[in-house]
Amino acid sequence: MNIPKELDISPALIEKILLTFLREELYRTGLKRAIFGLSGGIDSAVVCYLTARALGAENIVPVIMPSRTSSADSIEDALKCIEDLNLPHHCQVSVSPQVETYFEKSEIPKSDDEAMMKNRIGNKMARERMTILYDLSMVERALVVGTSNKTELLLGYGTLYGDMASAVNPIGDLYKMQIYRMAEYLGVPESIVNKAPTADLWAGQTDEDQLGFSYREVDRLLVRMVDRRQSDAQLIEEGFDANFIRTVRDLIRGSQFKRRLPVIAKVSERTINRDFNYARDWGT
Amino acid sequence: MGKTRISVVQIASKLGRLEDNTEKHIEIIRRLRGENSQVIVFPELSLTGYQLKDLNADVSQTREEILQRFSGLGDGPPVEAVFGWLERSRGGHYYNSLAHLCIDSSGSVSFLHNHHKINLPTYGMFEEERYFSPGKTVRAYDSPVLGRAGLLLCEDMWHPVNSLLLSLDGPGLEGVRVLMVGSNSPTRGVLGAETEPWNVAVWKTLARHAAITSNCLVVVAQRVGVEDGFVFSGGSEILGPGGEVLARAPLFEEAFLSCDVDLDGMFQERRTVMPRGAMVDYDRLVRELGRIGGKHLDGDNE
Repeated sequence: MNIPKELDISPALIEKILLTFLREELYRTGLKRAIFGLSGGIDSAVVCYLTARALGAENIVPVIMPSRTSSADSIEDALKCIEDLNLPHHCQVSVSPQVETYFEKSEIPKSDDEAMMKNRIGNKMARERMTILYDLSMVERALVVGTSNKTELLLGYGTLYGDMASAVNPIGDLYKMQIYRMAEYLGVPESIVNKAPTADLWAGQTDEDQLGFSYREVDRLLVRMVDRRQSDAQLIEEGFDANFIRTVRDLIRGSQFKRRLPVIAKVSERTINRDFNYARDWGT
Repeated sequence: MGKTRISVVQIASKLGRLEDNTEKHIEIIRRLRGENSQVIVFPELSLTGYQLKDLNADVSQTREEILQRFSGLGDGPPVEAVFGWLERSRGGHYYNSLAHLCIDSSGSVSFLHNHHKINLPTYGMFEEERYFSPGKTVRAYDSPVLGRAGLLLCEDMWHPVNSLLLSLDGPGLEGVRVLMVGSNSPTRGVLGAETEPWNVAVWKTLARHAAITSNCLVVVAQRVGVEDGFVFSGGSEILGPGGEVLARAPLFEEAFLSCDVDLDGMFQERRTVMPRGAMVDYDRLVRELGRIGGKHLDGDNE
């Protein structure tokens, strides 16, 4: 894929950095294995290839967690990664039984608002997947590795405590276009690289339809807005639409809560993460 | 002419694990001393790790405590060790420090010099001013092995006035022959980068610039390892006074560099290329700095 020049990276260099990151952040916990959701999409495929290279194929546990609304292609593409990397071990668990039981057989309030119900079901599925990964992480003695990229983290296009939850995330500082670059370099199957990105929340859903803009467009804007800290006036001068700029700025600001731990009311002299400050890797 | 063996230790220290890190230092010093290294240089905060935050109180040491920690090295060839630590002053200040210890043939240990980091980065991902007090002096000193020497820590190198001062601080304004730098450089800047991240490219330039402009041997000890997502780059270097790379460590992995350097010969040879010290017009330097700082000195109205 031809990625915009301003987003260009050297995949070999990024790979070196990320393999070091994965090994060191994982081994310091005392664990040797990684577990993550493998959706059949490009982000988790890149994580699959990276973790396999960093830890060895025998030390990664991809978990395929389809729902009834997942496309058949998704499962097929996830299995392609497993086959291509010759992974000796993976899990497959459907999230539909528990999600359907919750929405259809329990007493919880329903809604006539179709859009809201789609979101509720989508979020519920994402959180079910999270609980499955954390549950299996115990039995597999593996650390949960995140698969959210920088674009979706900035836009808040993810479920809090769902797909956004993980112990370590190797790709959270790479924009979607850069994920494509990494995927090609790592040899991710073409069918994954070439298909439209989707969260598979409902049949036929695509990220770009739901967001209302393309990843290419928004990445070109984000790298200027976030990394270069350009002003709106500069962005407009470069040809970006004022409404598009406003929409993206609103999405970033409005999802800030998703990128932080819960706010703690300060009453003591030493409040966690305010005056009680330690790195997470303290003592390792 | 005799050669001097200088070693650089590119390691990943454990965050807040003073005992483990001390043990690792002692083991490495013992090993390299046995391999005839005369000067062994470790990275910044090598005894403690970098992102200390509230660990300051737990891992800081006094100079007496440092001497005690390194007192068990025992008999062997004399060796000098440069390493990073957190000094706790009597006044309760914490200084990001680089120590130069002298270990004699009986294992007796003394401080040759200790540098407090002057320029504490406090921007972007860095927050050193919140936790450390800034050093106030940059001083050259005499090492039995190296001759006139100077120490700087990481960000100090990004401000050329520090290496300039060291390049003048000696008899006849000749300044240091060897500049040793401890650093912890987190990897960043990959957009458009081909083979190395931006910070590594900058460090190569800074080290080369200091070597050429100060006309001295430059030893840069970088750390590796990861702390809270900071992937420290490594890429430690030893450069000759013309900026030539004598040794360079790989990125992202622990490594040892050793170089046998004929220091006397090196500087004798350099005199035919670039006179040490003689090109600095000290009076002009002081006058212009005074003018810029608003302090009018004699002769500033030429």
